[in-house]
Amino acid sequence: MSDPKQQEQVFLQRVKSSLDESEAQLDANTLRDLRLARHKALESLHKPRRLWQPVTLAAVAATVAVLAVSLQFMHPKITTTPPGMEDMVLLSAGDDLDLYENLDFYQWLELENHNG
Amino acid sequence: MASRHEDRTTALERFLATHERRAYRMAYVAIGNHDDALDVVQDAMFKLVRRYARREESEWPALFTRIVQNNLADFYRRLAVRRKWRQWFGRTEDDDMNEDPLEQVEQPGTHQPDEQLSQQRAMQSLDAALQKLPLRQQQVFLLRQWEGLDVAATAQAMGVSEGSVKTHYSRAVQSLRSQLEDHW
Repeated sequence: MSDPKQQEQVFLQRVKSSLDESEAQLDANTLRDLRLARHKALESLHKPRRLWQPVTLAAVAATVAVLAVSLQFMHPKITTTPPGMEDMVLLSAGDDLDLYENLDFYQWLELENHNG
Repeated sequence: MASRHEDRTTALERFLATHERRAYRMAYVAIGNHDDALDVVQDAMFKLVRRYARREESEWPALFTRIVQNNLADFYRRLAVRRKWRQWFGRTEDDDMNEDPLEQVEQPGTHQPDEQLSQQRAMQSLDAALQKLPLRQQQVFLLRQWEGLDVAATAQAMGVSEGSVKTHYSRAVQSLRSQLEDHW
């Protein structure tokens, strides 16, 4: 028994035996608890998975909230020009104002050409 | 279809009945109290049944071992967080974990033959020595020495490298020998 390797093997064998023994000698209450735990786990195999569990509900609520906020921000901005501002837009456009001033003349010219 | 379902249930029941005691003992060594150890094992049973019932039976042992190991790691993570909170609120230690591990081992009876008493003491010493090991060393040792897993299977069950398994195992053996060999 002087071989250290052999000593270690003897020690480890004793540890294993002791652990086996402790497993075999579990008290009645522990064995009952384990049996109950096992049966509960096996029962869950027969139960259909419920879709509307609290976690699912929370996830759905969160998704709806995120969606609502996103839509609020993503909605296209409608810019409406107040009545009477069209002329201001025209004036501030910087285009050639003569074009607009002579518009009546151009319309008359077009009509004459068409009739002629 | 129903018959196949029944077969699976029977197979699962047989598997769990065979493995639950050892899983409980490993959890008990790691945690040191009955209720938490039972929670760890029960949760592992639920996870195996709900997630892996359809897997091949041959895969169940490795999966179950892995789940138990993950649950133990989760338990210790939660415990660390709880301790931090307690420290913030002025309590330095978790009172529940301060109890002497020897006192937590349940006594099956008062009148026992000498040999049984001696075995009981040996188990208590072993439990106490195992509980002094860091969790990884302890679980590597139990998986290798008790479950008989090889280095690769132990590494897979614990989610660590094979090199780490070898180091932890060697340190565990050394520590246990120094703690127990004189008294055994």
